[in-house]
Amino acid sequence: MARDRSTKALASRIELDYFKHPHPWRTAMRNATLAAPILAAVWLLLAVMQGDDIFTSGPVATRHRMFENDCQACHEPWKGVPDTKCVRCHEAPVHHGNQTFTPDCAGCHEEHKGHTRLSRTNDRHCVRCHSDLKTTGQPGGFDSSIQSFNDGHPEFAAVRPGAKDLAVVRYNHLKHMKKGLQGATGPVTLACTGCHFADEAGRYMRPITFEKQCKDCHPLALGLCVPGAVAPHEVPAAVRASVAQQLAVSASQHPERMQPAQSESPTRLRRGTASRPATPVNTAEWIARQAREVERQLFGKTCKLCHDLRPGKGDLQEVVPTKIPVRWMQHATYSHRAHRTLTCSVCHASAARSAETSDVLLPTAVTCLVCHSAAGGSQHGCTECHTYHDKTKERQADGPMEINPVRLIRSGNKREQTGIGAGEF
Amino acid sequence: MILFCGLLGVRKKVPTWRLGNAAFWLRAHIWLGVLSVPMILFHAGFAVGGALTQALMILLAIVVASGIHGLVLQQFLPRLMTNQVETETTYEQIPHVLEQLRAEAIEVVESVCGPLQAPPEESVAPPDPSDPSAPAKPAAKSKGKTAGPVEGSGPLKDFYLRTIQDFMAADRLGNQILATPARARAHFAHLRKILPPALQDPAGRLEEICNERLGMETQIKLHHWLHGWLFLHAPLSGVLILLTVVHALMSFKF
Repeated sequence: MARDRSTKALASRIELDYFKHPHPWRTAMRNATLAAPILAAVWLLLAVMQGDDIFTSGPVATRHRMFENDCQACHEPWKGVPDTKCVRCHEAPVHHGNQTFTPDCAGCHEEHKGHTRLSRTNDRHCVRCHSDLKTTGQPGGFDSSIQSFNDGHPEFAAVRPGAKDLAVVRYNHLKHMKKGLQGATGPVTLACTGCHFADEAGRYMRPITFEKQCKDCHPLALGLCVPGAVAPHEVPAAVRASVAQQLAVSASQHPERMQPAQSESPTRLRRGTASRPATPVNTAEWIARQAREVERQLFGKTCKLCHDLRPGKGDLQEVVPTKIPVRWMQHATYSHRAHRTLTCSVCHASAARSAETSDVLLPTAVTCLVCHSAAGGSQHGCTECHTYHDKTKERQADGPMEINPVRLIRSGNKREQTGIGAGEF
Repeated sequence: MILFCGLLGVRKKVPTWRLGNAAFWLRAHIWLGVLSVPMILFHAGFAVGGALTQALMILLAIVVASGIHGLVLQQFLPRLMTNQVETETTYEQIPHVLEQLRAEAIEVVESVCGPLQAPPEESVAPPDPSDPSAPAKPAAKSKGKTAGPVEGSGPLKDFYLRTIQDFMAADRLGNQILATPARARAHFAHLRKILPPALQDPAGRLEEICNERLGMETQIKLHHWLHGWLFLHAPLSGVLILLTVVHALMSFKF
């Protein structure tokens, strides 16, 4: 007899109320679904009780690690990170007086991203305004559609066509970089670093000074009237006073120099002079005559090698201010130290062939882009060169923080008391 | 989005809610769950953050991976079950149905071989009435006609006592002789050869019962594959939702 395998027969094998009975599979599933969140809640409670900062969204920047465990040093419950918390320690001078939008501190300085520099903000924060720059009042003279360094960034103002170095001084790089130039002690060949030295931070080149870079080869010698003596590199009045003083000392210490035969060489006489000046009758007259001669030599020739002179008060000329730029590109920062592996001529290629002071010997943006672009591989963010806040208006010493007598510092997952304090806010 | 994904479980608990059918909820659960991965990665800035957010990331990865695993299995295992299990039944009722099959087998054998010795397990303690997997009392009793053994039924009785009895009673078939269809076919073919024509039909019915038992075992295995991932997916989803809420609250706070 065949088995009855009809649908009805098969269905009759099932208990109609089977779903009312607990089944191990469903029971286990329900228990696991309930137990897992409970275990997670217990873990949360234990973690909070142990003081573990499990709620942090990542390690803070290195400069803020001293209060990494104190969330309320920066955060205000239910209010986020107000600027007032930041400016207690950091001065944040306004970017530009005519800007139309000022972001929150935390809007640009993104914390909890690990041990990075908070000042190195993402370009998108800058481009938010500078891609379509709007200003209140008069435009600031900045390009208004900059997307990135290689997209919309203008050429550096200093090297745009027609730009000149307006310094009132004569200097010829071409002549000074010739091989075998006559130096103080013999032939020399000057290199860039023979005259240009970076500041202590290695960022910018120090200003060229006569005392350090010029004096050895271009001494302001008084002449044979006071052998070996030199005039100071100062204003003409100071030069005159110094010359008079040195002549007086020379006259008193070396009276033989006042003898015309020994003190004056025929070769020192001016061309066209009909006869030798009269022999001095006394020291004062000798000093006065020598001073005139020295001043004529200095102000008439030596100073003019580099400087422009113009009539001054009385019979003295005055030196036209040189106005040599101490720092080019005031809206950007630069570090020569960071670029020390490069030879100078890579960026200052025109220096070796520059014969005019008016030549601007700075690199163009294209030179920078060779390395500072996506293709070049070096960093090319806005903050590589630009700073948002005016650092000259930063807070000086005497900030608001104090040292607590007791400090809680992290040691693994435990907290320890030490005698050294963290910031008190 | 995570909360909505978690509501699928609630929706299943209350099927009478007029909030769209279960298929719609499942589709929304799947698509929003998959979409949550890139959104959370962007939300996190592709960083894992602190301990809580690291735990959330790990949980999300496990929950999504187990969900995708389950989704893939759902694509072909139901069809495979339909093909391999001819008499598929409700999973929770498999022990109950197996007990009926065991009773049916006994009935078939006793109808031609006479009364069998009581199986050892029947002399043990009585089954718990609250346990649905426990054999039902009526099913455990033989309903076979015990008029007397048919001539030549000895091999059938021996085969039942030596092989089929254990096969039908075992919780897991494991290394049972009839655990594979090919070997079962071979053993029953050999049995039919040595049985007289009058016992061919009972032998065929026994083979059908054994095949059905084998099908039940296949259904159990496939069911575990089909739903086992939920043991990871559902509890960890609960944890994920809890920690997400905590994470959101703490984010609002700070």
